[in-house]
Amino acid sequence: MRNLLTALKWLINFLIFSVLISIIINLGELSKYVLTKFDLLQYSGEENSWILMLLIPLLTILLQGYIFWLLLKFRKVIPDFKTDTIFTENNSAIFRKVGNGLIIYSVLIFFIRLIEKSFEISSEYGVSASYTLGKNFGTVLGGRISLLVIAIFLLIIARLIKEGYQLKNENDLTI
Amino acid sequence: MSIVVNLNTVLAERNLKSKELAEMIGITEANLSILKSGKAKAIRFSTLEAICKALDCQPADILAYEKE
Repeated sequence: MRNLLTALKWLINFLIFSVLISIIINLGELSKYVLTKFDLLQYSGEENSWILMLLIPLLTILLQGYIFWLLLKFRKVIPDFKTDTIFTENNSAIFRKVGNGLIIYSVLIFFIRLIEKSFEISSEYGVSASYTLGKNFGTVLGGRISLLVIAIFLLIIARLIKEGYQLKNENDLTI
Repeated sequence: MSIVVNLNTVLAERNLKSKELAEMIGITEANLSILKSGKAKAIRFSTLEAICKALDCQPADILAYEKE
């Protein structure tokens, strides 16, 4: 159990680090666009819509910041697991928050990626717009399903911890 | 809760202190205090039996039901 928890801790640390790197990359892209707009930087790349260049990265950064905050919160649960103080109201609240947060994140990022995909120029010729939309919808949804499943599992665990806390409380108050 | 614990009354009748009863029945004073204050959620039959044995009384002498 201890080894598993240590592995989980390192995985979460790795995730936090990767989200942080991703935020920095997106911030770099965003600043490049802003600096180009104010003629402070010469950028030779292709000119895209402001939605693709400004709005999407900005929303992605905000969502990644939200995930970063959720991961930091989730990280606090692990020491409690190590000291066998799992069944607390606080842990249940953290699991519920992270579960709900992941659902919000996956729904929002789904729409963001869908908008982003709709700006991509398709290499397939002679296909209808509805086909492209359907294909994009399927591709983007496929990437979010696993996150939704994890979120629902976290909400179930939150419920279990809450029930466990109530049982523990009752057991402690049985003389 | 509508179940009240009259342990204080029985203890006073027997001129016993909580500490002494706790030692007699083998539970901690803290747990006995929880029981006396009515914060306990449940009582084990074994504990009830030990209390009744130590105080020479019936469960009804210790526990009573009061309408809320």
